[in-house]
Amino acid sequence: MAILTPREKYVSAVQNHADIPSLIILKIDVQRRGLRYTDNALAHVDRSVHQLLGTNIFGSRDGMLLPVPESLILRDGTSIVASPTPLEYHPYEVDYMDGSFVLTDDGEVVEPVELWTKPGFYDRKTKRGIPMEYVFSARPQRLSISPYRYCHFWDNDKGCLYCDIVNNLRQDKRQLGVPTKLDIEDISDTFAAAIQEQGRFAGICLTAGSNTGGAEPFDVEVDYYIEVLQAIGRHLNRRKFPSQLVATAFSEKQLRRIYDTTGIIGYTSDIEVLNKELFDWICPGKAEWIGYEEWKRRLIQAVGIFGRGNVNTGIVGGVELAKPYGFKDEKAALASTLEEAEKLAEQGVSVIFTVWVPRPGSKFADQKNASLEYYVGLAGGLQKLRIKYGLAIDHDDYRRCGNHPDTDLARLALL
Amino acid sequence: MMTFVLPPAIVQLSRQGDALKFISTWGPEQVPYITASPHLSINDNSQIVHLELLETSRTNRDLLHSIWFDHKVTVFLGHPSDQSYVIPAKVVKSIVSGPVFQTHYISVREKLGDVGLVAVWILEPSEVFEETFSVRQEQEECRRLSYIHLDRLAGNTQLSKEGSGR
Repeated sequence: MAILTPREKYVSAVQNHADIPSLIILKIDVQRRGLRYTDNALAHVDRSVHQLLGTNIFGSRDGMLLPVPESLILRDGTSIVASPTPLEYHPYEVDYMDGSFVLTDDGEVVEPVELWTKPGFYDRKTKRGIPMEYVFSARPQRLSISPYRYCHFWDNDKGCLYCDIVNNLRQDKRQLGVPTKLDIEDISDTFAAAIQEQGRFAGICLTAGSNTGGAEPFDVEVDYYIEVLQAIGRHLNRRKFPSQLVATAFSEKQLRRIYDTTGIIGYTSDIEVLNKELFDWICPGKAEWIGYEEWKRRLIQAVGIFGRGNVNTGIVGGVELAKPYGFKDEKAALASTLEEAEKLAEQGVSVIFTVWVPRPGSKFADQKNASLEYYVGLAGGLQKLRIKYGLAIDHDDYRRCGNHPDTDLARLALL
Repeated sequence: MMTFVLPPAIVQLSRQGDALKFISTWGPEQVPYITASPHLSINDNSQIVHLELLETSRTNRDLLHSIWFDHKVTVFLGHPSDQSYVIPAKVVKSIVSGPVFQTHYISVREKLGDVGLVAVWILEPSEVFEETFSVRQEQEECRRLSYIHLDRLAGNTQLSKEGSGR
Protein backbone atom coordinates (compact mmCIF):
# COMPACT_ATOMS: atom_id res chain seq x y z
CA MET A 1 0.00 0.00 0.00
CA ALA A 2 1.31 3.44 -0.96
CA ILE A 3 2.39 5.72 1.88
CA LEU A 4 0.32 8.89 1.85
CA THR A 5 1.90 12.30 2.28
CA PRO A 6 0.56 14.48 5.11
CA ARG A 7 -1.37 16.48 2.51
CA GLU A 8 -2.90 13.33 1.05
CA LYS A 9 -3.91 12.21 4.53
CA TYR A 10 -5.72 15.50 5.03
CA VAL A 11 -7.56 15.14 1.71
CA SER A 12 -8.45 11.57 2.60
CA ALA A 13 -9.80 12.60 6.01
CA VAL A 14 -11.98 15.27 4.40
CA GLN A 15 -13.35 12.67 1.96
CA ASN A 16 -13.95 10.13 4.72
CA HIS A 17 -15.83 12.51 7.01
CA ALA A 18 -18.40 14.39 4.96
CA ASP A 19 -20.22 15.37 8.15
CA ILE A 20 -17.20 17.14 9.64
CA PRO A 21 -16.33 20.53 8.10
CA SER A 22 -13.02 20.61 6.26
CA LEU A 23 -12.04 23.75 8.18
CA ILE A 24 -12.25 21.86 11.47
CA ILE A 25 -10.26 18.97 10.01
CA LEU A 26 -7.70 21.53 8.93
CA LYS A 27 -7.58 23.03 12.41
CA ILE A 28 -6.99 19.58 13.88
CA ASP A 29 -4.22 18.87 11.41
CA VAL A 30 -2.48 22.19 12.08
CA GLN A 31 -2.67 21.62 15.82
CA ARG A 32 -1.46 18.06 15.31
CA ARG A 33 1.42 18.80 12.95
CA GLY A 34 2.16 22.31 14.14
CA LEU A 35 3.21 25.27 12.06
CA ARG A 36 6.11 27.51 11.18
CA TYR A 37 6.26 31.06 9.90
CA THR A 38 8.22 31.86 6.76
CA ASP A 39 10.63 34.79 6.84
CA ASN A 40 8.29 36.52 4.42
CA ALA A 41 5.38 36.09 6.82
CA LEU A 42 7.42 37.34 9.75
CA ALA A 43 8.46 40.39 7.72
CA HIS A 44 4.76 41.32 7.45
CA VAL A 45 3.94 40.95 11.12
CA ASP A 46 3.01 44.32 12.58
CA ARG A 47 3.90 44.42 16.26
CA SER A 48 1.48 47.26 16.83
CA VAL A 49 -1.44 45.17 15.53
CA HIS A 50 -0.59 41.48 15.86
CA GLN A 51 -0.26 39.54 19.07
CA LEU A 52 3.13 37.92 19.51
CA LEU A 53 3.87 34.73 21.42
CA GLY A 54 3.82 35.63 25.07
CA THR A 55 3.39 34.03 28.41
CA ASN A 56 1.33 30.85 28.42
CA ILE A 57 0.77 28.11 30.93
CA PHE A 58 2.26 25.58 28.50
CA GLY A 59 5.34 26.06 26.38
CA SER A 60 5.92 26.29 22.66
CA ARG A 61 6.35 23.10 20.68
CA ASP A 62 9.88 24.00 19.65
CA GLY A 63 10.76 24.91 23.22
CA MET A 64 11.56 28.50 22.31
CA LEU A 65 9.98 31.80 23.18
CA LEU A 66 10.54 33.90 20.08
CA PRO A 67 8.77 37.03 18.82
CA VAL A 68 6.50 35.18 16.39
CA PRO A 69 2.70 35.51 16.07
CA GLU A 70 0.71 33.92 18.87
CA SER A 71 -1.54 32.02 16.50
CA LEU A 72 -4.17 32.04 13.75
CA ILE A 73 -7.86 32.42 13.02
CA LEU A 74 -9.67 30.86 10.07
CA ARG A 75 -12.31 32.47 7.87
CA ASP A 76 -15.17 30.79 9.76
CA GLY A 77 -14.02 32.35 13.02
CA THR A 78 -12.33 29.16 14.22
CA SER A 79 -9.20 29.73 16.28
CA ILE A 80 -6.14 27.60 15.78
CA VAL A 81 -3.98 27.29 18.85
CA ALA A 82 -0.60 26.14 17.58
CA SER A 83 2.99 27.15 18.03
CA PRO A 84 6.19 26.90 15.98
CA THR A 85 7.12 23.28 15.51
CA PRO A 86 10.28 21.45 14.41
CA LEU A 87 10.37 20.41 10.76
CA GLU A 88 10.35 16.68 11.55
CA TYR A 89 6.63 16.96 12.36
CA HIS A 90 5.84 18.26 8.83
CA PRO A 91 4.39 21.53 10.12
CA TYR A 92 2.14 23.71 7.99
CA GLU A 93 3.69 26.99 6.88
CA VAL A 94 2.26 30.45 7.31
CA ASP A 95 3.29 32.65 4.41
CA TYR A 96 2.31 36.07 3.09
CA MET A 97 0.99 36.39 -0.48
CA ASP A 98 -0.90 39.09 -2.38
CA GLY A 99 -1.51 41.20 0.68
CA SER A 100 -2.63 38.50 3.12
CA PHE A 101 -1.41 35.69 5.28
CA VAL A 102 -2.01 32.17 3.99
CA LEU A 103 -1.58 28.69 5.30
CA THR A 104 0.38 26.44 2.98
CA ASP A 105 1.09 22.73 2.98
CA ASP A 106 3.84 21.28 0.86
CA GLY A 107 3.97 24.56 -1.08
CA GLU A 108 0.25 24.56 -1.83
CA VAL A 109 -1.94 27.38 -0.52
CA VAL A 110 -4.57 25.76 1.67
CA GLU A 111 -6.50 28.60 3.28
CA PRO A 112 -6.31 32.33 4.00
CA VAL A 113 -5.62 32.98 7.68
CA GLU A 114 -5.46 35.97 9.96
CA LEU A 115 -3.13 36.53 12.86
CA TRP A 116 -4.57 37.14 16.31
CA THR A 117 -4.97 40.80 17.12
CA LYS A 118 -3.09 42.24 20.06
CA PRO A 119 -5.35 43.66 22.76
CA GLY A 120 -4.72 47.27 23.76
CA PHE A 121 -3.85 46.41 27.35
CA TYR A 122 -0.76 44.50 26.19
CA ASP A 123 1.03 47.83 25.87
CA ARG A 124 0.18 48.95 29.40
CA LYS A 125 1.56 48.33 32.86
CA THR A 126 -0.19 47.87 36.19
CA LYS A 127 0.12 50.52 38.91
CA ARG A 128 2.88 48.39 40.40
CA GLY A 129 4.73 48.44 37.06
CA ILE A 130 4.07 44.87 35.89
CA PRO A 131 3.44 44.58 32.13
CA MET A 132 -0.23 43.70 31.81
CA GLU A 133 0.53 41.11 29.14
CA TYR A 134 2.16 39.03 31.89
CA VAL A 135 -0.99 39.14 33.97
CA PHE A 136 -3.71 38.22 31.48
CA SER A 137 -3.08 36.68 28.08
CA ALA A 138 -5.52 36.90 25.21
CA ARG A 139 -7.07 34.65 22.66
CA PRO A 140 -9.23 36.23 19.97
CA GLN A 141 -12.18 36.45 22.35
CA ARG A 142 -10.95 35.08 25.66
CA LEU A 143 -9.06 36.56 28.56
CA SER A 144 -6.86 33.93 30.18
CA ILE A 145 -5.19 34.12 33.52
CA SER A 146 -2.84 31.64 35.16
CA PRO A 147 -2.16 33.41 38.45
CA TYR A 148 -0.15 30.59 39.98
CA ARG A 149 2.11 28.83 37.54
CA TYR A 150 3.58 26.08 39.69
CA CYS A 151 2.03 22.61 39.97
CA HIS A 152 2.72 20.85 43.27
CA PHE A 153 2.36 17.42 41.71
CA TRP A 154 5.90 18.13 40.52
CA ASP A 155 7.14 18.34 44.15
CA ASN A 156 7.74 14.61 44.30
CA ASP A 157 8.20 14.23 40.56
CA LYS A 158 4.63 13.20 39.94
CA GLY A 159 3.65 15.78 37.35
CA CYS A 160 1.62 14.53 34.39
CA LEU A 161 3.95 12.93 31.87
CA TYR A 162 2.79 15.01 28.88
CA CYS A 163 2.95 18.31 30.86
CA ASP A 164 5.65 20.99 30.79
CA ILE A 165 4.01 23.53 33.11
CA VAL A 166 6.87 23.91 35.58
CA ASN A 167 9.63 23.82 32.98
CA ASN A 168 7.73 26.43 30.98
CA LEU A 169 7.30 28.56 34.09
CA ARG A 170 11.05 28.47 34.60
CA GLN A 171 11.58 29.61 30.99
CA ASP A 172 9.03 32.44 31.33
CA LYS A 173 10.66 33.58 34.58
CA ARG A 174 14.12 33.46 33.06
CA GLN A 175 13.29 35.14 29.74
CA LEU A 176 10.41 37.45 30.64
CA GLY A 177 10.56 37.86 34.38
CA VAL A 178 6.99 36.57 34.77
CA PRO A 179 6.25 36.01 38.48
CA THR A 180 5.22 32.55 39.72
CA LYS A 181 2.26 33.98 41.60
CA LEU A 182 0.38 37.09 40.53
CA ASP A 183 -0.53 39.90 42.85
CA ILE A 184 -4.27 40.53 43.23
CA GLU A 185 -3.78 44.25 42.63
CA ASP A 186 -2.09 43.56 39.29
CA ILE A 187 -4.93 41.23 38.34
CA SER A 188 -7.50 43.85 39.23
CA ASP A 189 -5.71 46.62 37.30
CA THR A 190 -5.29 44.49 34.21
CA PHE A 191 -8.82 43.18 34.18
CA ALA A 192 -10.19 46.71 34.53
CA ALA A 193 -8.13 47.77 31.51
CA ALA A 194 -9.08 44.73 29.41
CA ILE A 195 -12.83 45.15 29.74
CA GLN A 196 -12.61 48.70 28.44
CA GLU A 197 -11.98 47.23 24.98
CA GLN A 198 -15.44 47.07 23.43
CA GLY A 199 -16.36 43.83 21.72
CA ARG A 200 -13.00 42.26 22.45
CA PHE A 201 -13.54 39.64 25.16
CA ALA A 202 -16.41 37.21 25.63
CA GLY A 203 -15.16 35.23 28.61
CA ILE A 204 -12.53 34.68 31.25
CA CYS A 205 -10.60 31.49 31.78
CA LEU A 206 -8.85 31.02 35.09
CA THR A 207 -6.43 28.15 35.54
CA ALA A 208 -3.36 27.31 37.56
CA GLY A 209 -1.20 24.47 38.68
CA SER A 210 -2.59 22.17 41.37
CA ASN A 211 -1.73 23.22 44.90
CA THR A 212 -2.08 20.44 47.44
CA GLY A 213 -1.70 22.71 50.49
CA GLY A 214 -4.38 23.48 53.06
CA ALA A 215 -6.36 21.92 55.91
CA GLU A 216 -8.17 19.86 53.30
CA PRO A 217 -5.86 19.16 50.34
CA PHE A 218 -6.21 21.89 47.70
CA ASP A 219 -7.79 24.43 50.10
CA VAL A 220 -4.93 26.82 49.32
CA GLU A 221 -5.69 26.53 45.59
CA VAL A 222 -9.39 27.10 46.25
CA ASP A 223 -8.73 30.15 48.45
CA TYR A 224 -6.59 31.77 45.80
CA TYR A 225 -9.15 31.18 43.03
CA ILE A 226 -11.81 32.78 45.20
CA GLU A 227 -9.59 35.78 45.84
CA VAL A 228 -8.86 36.18 42.11
CA LEU A 229 -12.47 35.72 41.02
CA GLN A 230 -13.73 38.18 43.60
CA ALA A 231 -11.17 40.76 42.45
CA ILE A 232 -12.43 40.29 38.89
CA GLY A 233 -16.07 40.31 39.91
CA ARG A 234 -15.75 43.69 41.61
CA HIS A 235 -15.38 45.25 38.15
CA LEU A 236 -18.62 43.77 36.81
CA ASN A 237 -22.24 44.68 37.37
CA ARG A 238 -23.61 41.14 37.32
CA ARG A 239 -23.06 38.56 40.06
CA LYS A 240 -22.42 35.71 37.63
CA PHE A 241 -20.33 36.39 34.53
CA PRO A 242 -19.00 34.42 31.52
CA SER A 243 -16.18 32.47 33.10
CA GLN A 244 -14.48 29.13 33.30
CA LEU A 245 -12.37 27.68 36.08
CA VAL A 246 -10.00 24.96 34.91
CA ALA A 247 -8.76 23.36 38.10
CA THR A 248 -8.21 20.31 40.23
CA ALA A 249 -11.17 18.05 41.02
CA PHE A 250 -12.28 19.66 44.26
CA SER A 251 -14.48 18.23 46.98
CA GLU A 252 -18.14 19.19 47.02
CA LYS A 253 -17.52 21.50 49.97
CA GLN A 254 -14.71 23.30 48.15
CA LEU A 255 -16.67 23.62 44.94
CA ARG A 256 -19.73 24.89 46.75
CA ARG A 257 -17.55 27.53 48.38
CA ILE A 258 -16.15 28.66 45.03
CA TYR A 259 -19.55 28.73 43.34
CA ASP A 260 -21.33 30.54 46.16
CA THR A 261 -18.73 33.24 46.77
CA THR A 262 -17.71 34.14 43.22
CA GLY A 263 -19.18 34.85 39.78
CA ILE A 264 -17.88 31.65 38.21
CA ILE A 265 -20.32 29.74 35.96
CA GLY A 266 -18.28 27.03 34.23
CA TYR A 267 -16.11 24.36 35.81
CA THR A 268 -13.58 22.18 34.04
CA SER A 269 -11.49 19.60 35.80
CA ASP A 270 -9.25 17.72 33.43
CA ILE A 271 -9.04 13.98 33.90
CA GLU A 272 -6.57 13.92 30.96
CA VAL A 273 -7.09 10.29 29.92
CA LEU A 274 -10.20 8.14 30.16
CA ASN A 275 -8.72 4.90 31.41
CA LYS A 276 -7.84 4.07 35.01
CA GLU A 277 -4.57 2.24 34.35
CA LEU A 278 -3.35 4.91 31.95
CA PHE A 279 -4.44 7.66 34.34
CA ASP A 280 -2.39 6.06 37.13
CA TRP A 281 0.63 5.92 34.83
CA ILE A 282 0.31 9.26 33.01
CA CYS A 283 -1.04 11.41 35.86
CA PRO A 284 0.70 10.01 38.97
CA GLY A 285 0.13 13.16 41.03
CA LYS A 286 -3.60 13.23 40.29
CA ALA A 287 -3.75 9.50 41.03
CA GLU A 288 -1.89 9.92 44.31
CA TRP A 289 -3.93 12.82 45.65
CA ILE A 290 -7.40 12.08 44.27
CA GLY A 291 -7.58 8.93 42.15
CA TYR A 292 -9.39 8.09 38.93
CA GLU A 293 -12.77 7.02 40.28
CA GLU A 294 -12.88 9.85 42.81
CA TRP A 295 -12.01 12.36 40.07
CA LYS A 296 -15.00 11.20 38.07
CA ARG A 297 -17.22 11.17 41.15
CA ARG A 298 -16.27 14.77 41.91
CA LEU A 299 -17.03 15.82 38.34
CA ILE A 300 -20.49 14.31 38.57
CA GLN A 301 -20.99 15.98 41.94
CA ALA A 302 -20.05 19.32 40.38
CA VAL A 303 -23.04 19.06 38.03
CA GLY A 304 -25.26 19.40 41.09
CA ILE A 305 -23.63 22.74 41.84
CA PHE A 306 -22.92 24.26 38.42
CA GLY A 307 -25.73 22.61 36.46
CA ARG A 308 -25.81 20.42 33.37
CA GLY A 309 -23.79 21.81 30.49
CA ASN A 310 -21.57 23.83 32.82
CA VAL A 311 -19.21 21.06 33.90
CA ASN A 312 -16.73 19.31 31.69
CA THR A 313 -13.46 17.47 31.75
CA GLY A 314 -10.61 17.67 29.29
CA ILE A 315 -8.57 14.86 27.87
CA VAL A 316 -5.23 15.13 26.14
CA GLY A 317 -6.43 13.52 22.94
CA GLY A 318 -4.07 10.81 21.75
CA VAL A 319 -2.11 10.43 24.97
CA GLU A 320 -4.02 7.19 25.53
CA LEU A 321 -1.77 5.84 22.75
CA ALA A 322 1.48 6.83 24.49
CA LYS A 323 4.20 4.21 24.61
CA PRO A 324 4.81 1.80 26.18
CA TYR A 325 1.60 1.25 28.18
CA GLY A 326 -0.97 3.00 26.02
CA PHE A 327 -3.39 1.44 23.58
CA LYS A 328 -1.59 -0.17 20.67
CA ASP A 329 -4.51 0.28 18.31
CA GLU A 330 -6.24 3.57 17.51
CA LYS A 331 -9.64 1.97 16.90
CA ALA A 332 -9.61 0.34 20.32
CA ALA A 333 -8.41 3.56 21.94
CA LEU A 334 -11.15 5.61 20.31
CA ALA A 335 -13.90 3.12 21.17
CA SER A 336 -12.76 2.87 24.78
CA THR A 337 -12.43 6.65 25.19
CA LEU A 338 -15.87 7.35 23.76
CA GLU A 339 -17.40 4.61 25.90
CA GLU A 340 -16.00 6.19 29.06
CA ALA A 341 -16.98 9.65 27.83
CA GLU A 342 -20.56 8.46 27.39
CA LYS A 343 -20.72 7.27 31.00
CA LEU A 344 -19.80 10.80 32.10
CA ALA A 345 -22.17 12.44 29.59
CA GLU A 346 -25.04 10.35 30.97
CA GLN A 347 -24.37 12.07 34.31
CA GLY A 348 -24.22 15.56 32.79
CA VAL A 349 -20.42 15.86 32.44
CA SER A 350 -19.17 16.80 29.02
CA VAL A 351 -15.81 15.55 27.72
CA ILE A 352 -13.68 17.78 25.51
CA PHE A 353 -10.22 17.21 24.06
CA THR A 354 -7.10 19.06 23.11
CA VAL A 355 -4.80 17.66 20.47
CA TRP A 356 -1.84 16.17 22.30
CA VAL A 357 1.31 18.09 21.48
CA PRO A 358 4.44 16.32 22.77
CA ARG A 359 6.30 19.25 24.29
CA PRO A 360 10.07 19.35 24.78
CA GLY A 361 9.71 20.22 28.46
CA SER A 362 7.62 17.12 29.20
CA LYS A 363 8.51 13.51 29.88
CA PHE A 364 6.66 12.50 26.72
CA ALA A 365 8.80 14.87 24.62
CA ASP A 366 9.89 12.15 22.21
CA GLN A 367 6.48 10.59 21.65
CA LYS A 368 4.18 11.08 18.65
CA ASN A 369 0.58 12.14 18.71
CA ALA A 370 -2.25 10.25 17.00
CA SER A 371 -3.34 10.22 13.37
CA LEU A 372 -5.58 12.84 11.83
CA GLU A 373 -8.29 10.20 11.35
CA TYR A 374 -8.18 9.48 15.07
CA TYR A 375 -8.69 13.09 16.06
CA VAL A 376 -11.48 13.63 13.54
CA GLY A 377 -13.27 10.57 14.94
CA LEU A 378 -12.76 11.82 18.48
CA ALA A 379 -14.10 15.30 17.67
CA GLY A 380 -17.21 13.94 15.96
CA GLY A 381 -17.76 11.30 18.64
CA LEU A 382 -17.58 13.68 21.58
CA GLN A 383 -19.90 16.22 19.97
CA LYS A 384 -22.42 13.46 19.16
CA LEU A 385 -22.48 12.57 22.85
CA ARG A 386 -23.25 16.17 23.77
CA ILE A 387 -26.15 16.18 21.32
CA LYS A 388 -27.42 12.79 22.56
CA TYR A 389 -27.44 13.94 26.19
CA GLY A 390 -28.46 17.55 25.56
CA LEU A 391 -25.29 19.09 26.94
CA ALA A 392 -24.29 22.63 26.03
CA ILE A 393 -20.61 23.61 26.24
CA ASP A 394 -20.87 27.40 26.19
CA HIS A 395 -18.10 28.04 28.70
CA ASP A 396 -15.57 26.08 26.65
CA ASP A 397 -16.74 26.71 23.08
CA TYR A 398 -15.11 28.23 19.97
CA ARG A 399 -15.54 31.74 21.32
CA ARG A 400 -14.72 31.32 25.01
CA CYS A 401 -11.85 28.88 24.39
CA GLY A 402 -11.08 27.92 20.79
CA ASN A 403 -8.72 25.05 21.52
CA HIS A 404 -11.10 22.11 21.18
CA PRO A 405 -12.11 20.85 17.73
CA ASP A 406 -15.05 18.96 19.24
CA THR A 407 -16.52 22.06 20.86
CA ASP A 408 -16.06 23.98 17.60
CA LEU A 409 -18.60 21.53 16.21
CA ALA A 410 -21.04 22.57 18.93
CA ARG A 411 -21.61 25.78 16.95
CA LEU A 412 -24.00 23.83 14.75
CA ALA A 413 -26.06 22.48 17.63
CA LEU A 414 -29.02 24.57 18.70
CA LEU A 415 -29.53 23.29 22.24
CA MET B 1 -11.13 36.02 -7.67
CA MET B 2 -13.11 39.07 -8.68
CA THR B 3 -16.42 39.18 -6.92
CA PHE B 4 -19.67 39.75 -8.78
CA VAL B 5 -20.37 43.48 -8.79
CA LEU B 6 -23.82 44.49 -7.65
CA PRO B 7 -25.53 47.17 -9.78
CA PRO B 8 -25.55 50.70 -8.31
CA ALA B 9 -29.36 50.61 -8.02
CA ILE B 10 -29.11 47.75 -5.55
CA VAL B 11 -26.34 49.40 -3.57
CA GLN B 12 -28.46 52.54 -3.40
CA LEU B 13 -31.52 50.57 -2.33
CA SER B 14 -29.54 48.90 0.47
CA ARG B 15 -28.81 52.33 1.92
CA GLN B 16 -32.44 53.43 2.07
CA GLY B 17 -33.86 53.45 5.58
CA ASP B 18 -37.14 51.88 4.50
CA ALA B 19 -35.60 49.13 2.37
CA LEU B 20 -36.83 45.59 3.00
CA LYS B 21 -33.95 43.24 3.81
CA PHE B 22 -34.25 39.50 4.39
CA ILE B 23 -31.90 36.57 4.38
CA SER B 24 -32.88 33.01 3.57
CA THR B 25 -30.67 30.21 4.80
CA TRP B 26 -30.82 26.48 5.32
CA GLY B 27 -28.98 24.18 7.65
CA PRO B 28 -28.92 20.54 8.68
CA GLU B 29 -32.73 20.28 8.42
CA GLN B 30 -32.56 21.41 4.76
CA VAL B 31 -35.58 23.63 5.23
CA PRO B 32 -35.36 27.25 4.02
CA TYR B 33 -35.42 29.70 6.90
CA ILE B 34 -36.08 33.39 6.34
CA THR B 35 -35.39 36.20 8.75
CA ALA B 36 -35.19 39.97 8.54
CA SER B 37 -31.68 41.38 8.27
CA PRO B 38 -32.32 45.04 9.10
CA HIS B 39 -28.63 45.95 9.37
CA LEU B 40 -27.63 44.36 6.08
CA SER B 41 -25.30 46.49 3.99
CA ILE B 42 -23.06 46.28 0.97
CA ASN B 43 -19.38 47.03 1.45
CA ASP B 44 -16.88 48.62 -0.95
CA ASN B 45 -15.97 45.19 -2.36
CA SER B 46 -19.56 44.59 -3.44
CA GLN B 47 -19.93 42.03 -0.66
CA ILE B 48 -23.07 41.76 1.42
CA VAL B 49 -22.54 42.27 5.14
CA HIS B 50 -25.00 40.64 7.54
CA LEU B 51 -24.72 41.55 11.21
CA GLU B 52 -25.77 38.75 13.52
CA LEU B 53 -26.80 39.76 17.00
CA LEU B 54 -27.74 36.38 18.45
CA GLU B 55 -25.38 33.45 18.92
CA THR B 56 -28.27 30.99 19.09
CA SER B 57 -30.24 32.28 16.11
CA ARG B 58 -31.03 29.72 13.48
CA THR B 59 -29.78 32.13 10.82
CA ASN B 60 -26.39 32.29 12.54
CA ARG B 61 -26.27 28.52 12.75
CA ASP B 62 -27.32 28.13 9.11
CA LEU B 63 -24.73 30.64 7.88
CA LEU B 64 -22.10 28.56 9.63
CA HIS B 65 -23.51 25.46 7.97
CA SER B 66 -23.16 27.24 4.63
CA ILE B 67 -19.53 28.23 5.13
CA TRP B 68 -18.67 24.76 6.44
CA PHE B 69 -20.47 22.73 3.79
CA ASP B 70 -20.23 25.17 0.91
CA HIS B 71 -23.78 26.00 -0.08
CA LYS B 72 -25.35 29.32 -0.89
CA VAL B 73 -27.84 31.50 0.90
CA THR B 74 -30.26 34.00 -0.61
CA VAL B 75 -30.66 37.66 0.21
CA PHE B 76 -33.80 39.65 -0.58
CA LEU B 77 -33.61 43.40 -1.03
CA GLY B 78 -36.74 45.34 -1.80
CA HIS B 79 -38.86 48.39 -1.26
CA PRO B 80 -42.63 48.66 -0.65
CA SER B 81 -42.91 50.87 -3.71
CA ASP B 82 -42.41 47.82 -5.96
CA GLN B 83 -38.73 47.00 -6.01
CA SER B 84 -37.54 43.45 -5.44
CA TYR B 85 -34.19 41.79 -5.94
CA VAL B 86 -33.19 38.26 -5.05
CA ILE B 87 -29.45 37.71 -4.63
CA PRO B 88 -27.92 34.25 -4.22
CA ALA B 89 -24.63 34.53 -2.33
CA LYS B 90 -21.77 32.44 -1.07
CA VAL B 91 -20.87 32.74 2.61
CA VAL B 92 -17.17 33.55 2.63
CA LYS B 93 -16.29 34.79 6.08
CA SER B 94 -17.46 35.02 9.66
CA ILE B 95 -15.68 37.80 11.50
CA VAL B 96 -16.01 37.14 15.21
CA SER B 97 -13.12 39.18 16.59
CA GLY B 98 -10.57 41.79 15.61
CA PRO B 99 -10.77 45.42 14.48
CA VAL B 100 -13.54 44.98 11.87
CA PHE B 101 -15.70 43.12 14.35
CA GLN B 102 -15.10 45.69 17.06
CA THR B 103 -15.95 48.57 14.73
CA HIS B 104 -19.31 46.98 13.91
CA TYR B 105 -19.83 46.08 17.57
CA ILE B 106 -19.46 49.70 18.62
CA SER B 107 -21.60 50.95 15.74
CA VAL B 108 -24.48 48.55 16.36
CA ARG B 109 -24.51 49.42 20.06
CA GLU B 110 -24.58 53.12 19.21
CA LYS B 111 -27.66 52.47 17.08
CA LEU B 112 -29.53 49.93 19.19
CA GLY B 113 -28.38 50.41 22.76
CA ASP B 114 -27.42 47.52 25.00
CA VAL B 115 -27.22 44.69 22.50
CA GLY B 116 -24.38 42.39 21.55
CA LEU B 117 -22.91 41.40 18.22
CA VAL B 118 -21.80 37.84 17.60
CA ALA B 119 -20.62 37.83 14.01
CA VAL B 120 -20.13 39.94 10.93
CA TRP B 121 -20.97 37.60 8.09
CA ILE B 122 -19.52 38.39 4.67
CA LEU B 123 -21.45 37.09 1.67
CA GLU B 124 -20.32 37.23 -1.95
CA PRO B 125 -23.20 37.65 -4.38
CA SER B 126 -23.06 35.49 -7.48
CA GLU B 127 -25.95 36.99 -9.46
CA VAL B 128 -29.07 39.11 -9.10
CA PHE B 129 -32.62 38.20 -10.00
CA GLU B 130 -34.90 41.14 -10.65
CA GLU B 131 -38.24 40.32 -9.03
CA THR B 132 -39.85 43.74 -9.19
CA PHE B 133 -43.37 42.84 -10.21
CA SER B 134 -43.94 45.46 -12.89
CA VAL B 135 -40.63 44.59 -14.53
CA ARG B 136 -41.20 40.85 -14.37
CA GLN B 137 -44.76 41.14 -15.68
CA GLU B 138 -43.64 43.08 -18.67
CA GLN B 139 -40.87 40.58 -19.38
CA GLU B 140 -43.21 37.65 -19.14
CA GLU B 141 -45.89 39.10 -21.29
CA CYS B 142 -43.40 40.03 -23.96
CA ARG B 143 -41.64 36.69 -24.04
CA ARG B 144 -44.31 34.14 -23.24
CA LEU B 145 -47.39 34.96 -25.25
CA SER B 146 -49.27 31.88 -24.05
CA TYR B 147 -49.00 32.78 -20.38
CA ILE B 148 -52.21 34.71 -19.97
CA HIS B 149 -55.80 33.91 -19.19
CA LEU B 150 -58.06 34.59 -22.10
CA ASP B 151 -60.44 36.71 -20.10
CA ARG B 152 -57.71 39.26 -19.77
CA LEU B 153 -57.76 39.52 -23.52
CA ALA B 154 -61.50 39.80 -23.81
CA GLY B 155 -62.55 43.06 -25.39
CA ASN B 156 -59.05 43.96 -26.23
CA THR B 157 -59.12 43.09 -29.90
CA GLN B 158 -61.31 43.96 -32.78
CA LEU B 159 -61.88 40.27 -33.36
CA SER B 160 -63.33 39.59 -29.95
CA LYS B 161 -65.62 42.56 -30.19
CA GLU B 162 -67.09 41.31 -33.42
CA GLY B 163 -66.97 37.62 -32.53
CA SER B 164 -65.39 35.09 -34.78
CA GLY B 165 -68.34 32.74 -34.98
CA ARG B 166 -66.12 29.69 -34.54
